[in-house]
Amino acid sequence: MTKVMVVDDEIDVRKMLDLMMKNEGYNTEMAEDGSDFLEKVDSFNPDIVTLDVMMPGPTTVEILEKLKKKKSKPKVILLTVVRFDGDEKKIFEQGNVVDYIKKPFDIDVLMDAVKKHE
Amino acid sequence: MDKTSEKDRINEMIDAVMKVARGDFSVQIERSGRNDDLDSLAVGINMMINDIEGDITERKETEELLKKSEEEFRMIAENIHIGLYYTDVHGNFLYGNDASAEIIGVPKEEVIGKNGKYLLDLQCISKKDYLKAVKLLTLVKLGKKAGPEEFHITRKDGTKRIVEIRVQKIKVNKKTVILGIIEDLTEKKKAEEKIKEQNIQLKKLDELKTSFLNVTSHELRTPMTSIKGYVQMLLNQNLGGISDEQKQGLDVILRNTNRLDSLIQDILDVSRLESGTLKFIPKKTDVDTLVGQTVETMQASADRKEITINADIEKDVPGLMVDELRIKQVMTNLLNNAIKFSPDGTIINVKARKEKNDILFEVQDFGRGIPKDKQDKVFETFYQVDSGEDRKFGGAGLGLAVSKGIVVSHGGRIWVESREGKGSTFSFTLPLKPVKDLEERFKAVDMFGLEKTEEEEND
Repeated sequence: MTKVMVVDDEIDVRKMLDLMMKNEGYNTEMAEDGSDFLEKVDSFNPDIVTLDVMMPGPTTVEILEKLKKKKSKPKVILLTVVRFDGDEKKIFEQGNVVDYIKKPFDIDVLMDAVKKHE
Repeated sequence: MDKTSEKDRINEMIDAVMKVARGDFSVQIERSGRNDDLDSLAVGINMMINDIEGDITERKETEELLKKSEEEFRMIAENIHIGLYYTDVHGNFLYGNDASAEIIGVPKEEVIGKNGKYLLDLQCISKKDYLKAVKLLTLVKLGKKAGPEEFHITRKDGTKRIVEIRVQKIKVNKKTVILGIIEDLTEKKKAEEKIKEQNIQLKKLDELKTSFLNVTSHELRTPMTSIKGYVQMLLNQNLGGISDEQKQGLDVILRNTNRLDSLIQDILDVSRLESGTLKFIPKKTDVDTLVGQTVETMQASADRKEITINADIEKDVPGLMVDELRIKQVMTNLLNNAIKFSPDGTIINVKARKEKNDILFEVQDFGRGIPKDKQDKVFETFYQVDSGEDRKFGGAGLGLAVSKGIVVSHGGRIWVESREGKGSTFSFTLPLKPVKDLEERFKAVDMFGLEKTEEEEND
């Protein structure tokens, strides 16, 4: 079963995304920020990560750089409200990023993206 | 018969000539009536006296005129608010007008006759500026372009002035002198400094505004993410079955959430445009998906007015390298307007096809149309065709302006064809060959109609 990890500092959004993924039949895990995500990623070993942009703690670039050193190699879909924190070119150079979606989002758009990369 | 002796007559003539020599031209020699040589001499002397008197009067008049005109020039030089002075070729002051003395803050009498170095001794100018003056003098003597140069003056009373001096070599009475013109820039510089400071303040304010808008929009959109997400889940019946009434209520919530979201987006974009911080992230984009997803997003709004959206995408239309979200934003804007201004139960046609080196997008409605004279203006910020009427339809008048900015940044064009009462077709193109420097292009877009001249404005 495809494993999706939901990373968002907003508990309502995090739980909602988790519910959406479960509804589609995915195996899910949640993380409340970048550090939490990096701690859990190898044990859960997700196929796909929805990663919020602009969370407290490490920046998106920092998270993605550290992710490269992990055993787990998930595809990353960025979820962003005010587009990007820091240099977006650098964010996309990290390689793991396969898509980005603007919040608030259409469920269909998000699910299309997840399905495309599962 | 005159009995005057010849000797007396000769003495009379000598007296007259002597008077004339002293400048008295009132004398005239009387003739004896004998018509002899002495009478002829008398006539000659009288004529000579008259001629000389005439000449001298004329000369006096000319002298007076000259004196007057010289005085006039002196008055001009003295009273003009530009500092004028001249030195000899060694830099010794020969003349300075009142303004020049006022500017450097040293009395004329003190300076005239002295060398320029005296101003250094007075600490009126710095060593550096003194050397600059010496260089000016050297250059101008060689007939080269000299100045204008800036000098910092410390006046005797301690006040400071910034002046600009230009010098020129001229001949006065066959003597070469160096004429200097001093312009006091102190006030101008002060004003410039003030403007600079104000600009810095304005920039700070602008940054503050941008960061405020960023934070605010983040804070507004985070709760909207949960609202929109759950409403969609409820509508999709992911969380259990719902009644028709519940569905209607949720549709309204979703529609209005989308409306709020697009308003926040527009406000943010306008502020980014102002500050030149709008960013584009081009990626490979499928035209069919792009149009399909946009239409899907707008379906609920269209359904409410029983409007049918016909999407006609050319088969095998090539993909584009564009910022997908931004292009969706343009499509959404156009569709949103089309729905807003379409009567209930009508049709909206959305088309996309390849045309030469572009993809052409069209959104056609059968609404009230736009008057010809207002068709260009709809792409300007805060412009609404009819403020009163449009208020009723909602919208801040930002959408089309932002859309234009986005399309032009991608190297495309956007325009409208419309007939009043028949409807409007909004079209835009995007080049198949992606352009570079999208942000730079965006900055160049005159979204506020600021670069228009008044004439154009009145057209």
